[in-house]
Amino acid sequence: MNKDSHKEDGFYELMQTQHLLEIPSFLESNIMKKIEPKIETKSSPIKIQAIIIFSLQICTYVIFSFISAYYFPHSILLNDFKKMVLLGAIAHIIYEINDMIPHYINQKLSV
Amino acid sequence: MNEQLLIQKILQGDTASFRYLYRLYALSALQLAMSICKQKENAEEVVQNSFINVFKYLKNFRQESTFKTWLLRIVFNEAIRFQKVEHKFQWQEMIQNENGEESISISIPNAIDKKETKEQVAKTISLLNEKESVVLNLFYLEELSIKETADILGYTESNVKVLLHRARKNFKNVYEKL
Repeated sequence: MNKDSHKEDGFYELMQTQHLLEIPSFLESNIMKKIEPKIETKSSPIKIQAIIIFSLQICTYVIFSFISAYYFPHSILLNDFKKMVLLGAIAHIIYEINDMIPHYINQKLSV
Repeated sequence: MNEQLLIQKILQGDTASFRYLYRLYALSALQLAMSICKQKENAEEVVQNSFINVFKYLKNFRQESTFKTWLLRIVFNEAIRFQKVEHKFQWQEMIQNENGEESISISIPNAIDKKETKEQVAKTISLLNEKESVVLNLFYLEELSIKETADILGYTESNVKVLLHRARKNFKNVYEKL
């Protein structure tokens, strides 16, 4: 705080009568309306990167399933590898959902 | 709440923190905008644009000054820009040298005349030029130091002292004539 302004020259007391008491409420809602879409895009819970990775994992699983079913139906190694890809995809989606939930709740609460 | 924490939360996308920050400083911003734009509607538009800019450029705030000083500088620049566009207004950068040390005092009326005094002061401020009303606003209403005022206006500290002296002198002349 600036103590110089409190000098007893009368100006401080006179100027203090000019404090605004309130600010129009529409101003706050106007600002928040213009800002909220920007925040939502910034912290969007759905990540494009995660969707792409998940799609690639599922595609790999489908390709291995196809190969294992039609060309190597008795290959245990291929079957295990296929299962591993599927488990990886499931683990990935669980991780992303776990990450998404707090963001989603936060957004719902701040509206 | 800690201001630094608040800023961090806003940068992480927390809308509620921005609302809180707005409520904390909106009156100061509106008061400063009013002292330049004079009209309430224009001042409100300036405040709105300023807070949008604050949100946009918050990541650039390096905490070299207080957040309030940084915000008021944005409001000041936005108000000057607005006035230039709307009213072809020119903010004159030059301040002529004059003695800023001579003390000026003004008599304070009785508490009974409070409402009348408030109106008289408001009328006096509206008759001062923008620079004078801005410097009085920052120094006496916002209670900022000479250095903080200089940072907001982009002047040197001695320029602010001269401007403040001139503002007090003109305020006294106008106030006593009313």
